[in-house]
Amino acid sequence: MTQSVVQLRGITKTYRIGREITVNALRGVDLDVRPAEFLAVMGPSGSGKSTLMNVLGCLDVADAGTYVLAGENVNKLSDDKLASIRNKHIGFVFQTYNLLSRLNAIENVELPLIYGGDRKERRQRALAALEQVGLGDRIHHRPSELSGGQQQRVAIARALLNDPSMILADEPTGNLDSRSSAEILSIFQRLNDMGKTVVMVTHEPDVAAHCKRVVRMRDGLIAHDELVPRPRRAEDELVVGIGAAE
Amino acid sequence: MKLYDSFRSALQSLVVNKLRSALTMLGVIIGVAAVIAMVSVGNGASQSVQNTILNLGSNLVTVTPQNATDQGLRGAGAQAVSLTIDDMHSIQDQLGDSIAAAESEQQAGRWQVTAAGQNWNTQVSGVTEDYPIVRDWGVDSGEFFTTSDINTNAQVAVLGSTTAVNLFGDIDPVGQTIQLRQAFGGGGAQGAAAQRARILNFRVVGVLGTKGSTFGQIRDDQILVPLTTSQHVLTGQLNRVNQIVIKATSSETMDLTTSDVSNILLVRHNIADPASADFAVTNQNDTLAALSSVTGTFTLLLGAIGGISLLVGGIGIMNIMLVSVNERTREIGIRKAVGARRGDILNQFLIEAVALTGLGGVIGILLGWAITEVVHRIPQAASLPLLITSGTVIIAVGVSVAIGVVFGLYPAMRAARLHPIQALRYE
Repeated sequence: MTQSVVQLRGITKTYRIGREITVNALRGVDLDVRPAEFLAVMGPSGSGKSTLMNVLGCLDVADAGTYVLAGENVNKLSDDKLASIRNKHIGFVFQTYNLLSRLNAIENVELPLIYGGDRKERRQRALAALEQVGLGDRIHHRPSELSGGQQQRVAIARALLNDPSMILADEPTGNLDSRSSAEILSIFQRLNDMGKTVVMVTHEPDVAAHCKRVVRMRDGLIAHDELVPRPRRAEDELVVGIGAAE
Repeated sequence: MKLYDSFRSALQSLVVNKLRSALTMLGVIIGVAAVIAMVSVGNGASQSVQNTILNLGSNLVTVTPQNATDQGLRGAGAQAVSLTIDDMHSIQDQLGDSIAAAESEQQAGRWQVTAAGQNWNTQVSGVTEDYPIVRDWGVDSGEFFTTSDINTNAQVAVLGSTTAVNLFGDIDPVGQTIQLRQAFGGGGAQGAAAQRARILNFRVVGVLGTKGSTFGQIRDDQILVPLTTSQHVLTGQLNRVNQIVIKATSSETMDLTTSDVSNILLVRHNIADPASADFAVTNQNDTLAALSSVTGTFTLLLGAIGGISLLVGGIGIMNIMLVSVNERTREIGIRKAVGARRGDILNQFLIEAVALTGLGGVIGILLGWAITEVVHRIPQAASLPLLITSGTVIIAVGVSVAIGVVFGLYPAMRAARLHPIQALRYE
């Protein structure tokens, strides 16, 4: 059995809202993500999936439990250590793309390498990553000059740059039309085929159907964890989509 | 994060907000320019004062008579002239080569001078032969009078350059004769007719070089005659001198010379307690120190005014950096998400602040330099040497960079401390 990319054991997280109210966002979550998995995390709002995402992405630290990421225990690390872990092991893709509007596409993609890595190969690797998402001809465009789908592809290129252990996507298709969504999903699937581990938070069953495994959360716990027998292929939809348009 | 990237990113964000950056920088620019201009005016003033004093000759120790007030017995002699030419000779004999030169002076009052059909009223002084050495002030034409002129009470004169022009115009005065007249007696009821005048002929042997004025006194308008001539022929105050001026060998030996001279004179005058001495010894270092402490305070005051505007500029920097951090909260979140450490964010904003103030500092120096150039063109200030020293420039740049660090630190720390999730969710 191969070692898990992610191993969560008894993760709890409590938020305090104001002085009185406490929210038990996570109440003892156990989760294993193996290499080359394509995992969807689903659940209604307030189920704790965003908190789980933050913990997985080392943006937030759990109150209790253990989290081993790529063989490294990240429970009690300092802020700066967590920053290095995010830089090396995690590639974020957000619903709102979160690109820096001042920078053009390739500069946005280079960002993770500014905070760790060699300057010489930076441009080359950024270019390679942009070509991988099919934007090799748009490298000098600012985010405002790109469509939503293109912006999200820039974000994916940025996530890929440091060859992370896991790509963490938070509603990556939430702001996109169906065709752009299919494009993004097909990129994820292609990356997953090449062995990348992808964890995606979504509330759309349609989107989750492209994943290999779906985890459903409820009230801060994992309620269902099941494999998808035959994930849908996004490329097929793209071809159909093009066919329908013609 | 490499420094290069920090700089690039800082400059990029300054360029994006051009107007805001320029306005923010303006505070620092004005502050630095004010410091540069003010301090250079202050430095110029103190330099000008120093030049004026050194214009009197360098490394000078001056002995002047002082009324002794010892137990009230000798205090009554208000005109007591306690110094003699023998005092000077004694100093010269005892100090020998440890002083460069010495001269004695006696004021002979104002005389009406006639020559070549012109007349002029001017100050006449008796001096000894080493006057040109002590005062660093030689003759432009002819020569200074000699020891033998002194010994023989010769009626020879050296003219100041202004006096020479007033009396002789374009003619070379050397070899010409001038007449000194002084009215005396008479007056009162007898009227002008009863007045008699003494008329004395002097041969001009030399004309002094031009020195300009010192503290408003035009020193080029005077006539110098041998001290003995002044004593015997002009004033009748034999052997008395108004001051003895000793030139020390260097600035370092001035204090030693001062105390030596004082000791010699105390012994000669039989005075045990230096506090009741009938003479005063001052040296140029003391005068310079006193004046430079005045001009130093002046410069400091001017600098402080500039400093306050620099401080205000710094607060402006802090203000705008806080706005900038607030505006870019999301950017900070993104950078943190992709792996920026606290130090990286801190550096980014700190460098941005320092770039603002540093650039402002450089522009401020140029502006300050321009201001001093303009001030220099104002006729009233033309004689003021305006000094922008490398020290001023280094301090101005250093201070403006320091202001960037000091006032940029708090906003940068706020940025660095932001929690990545909250920063990412910030609208």
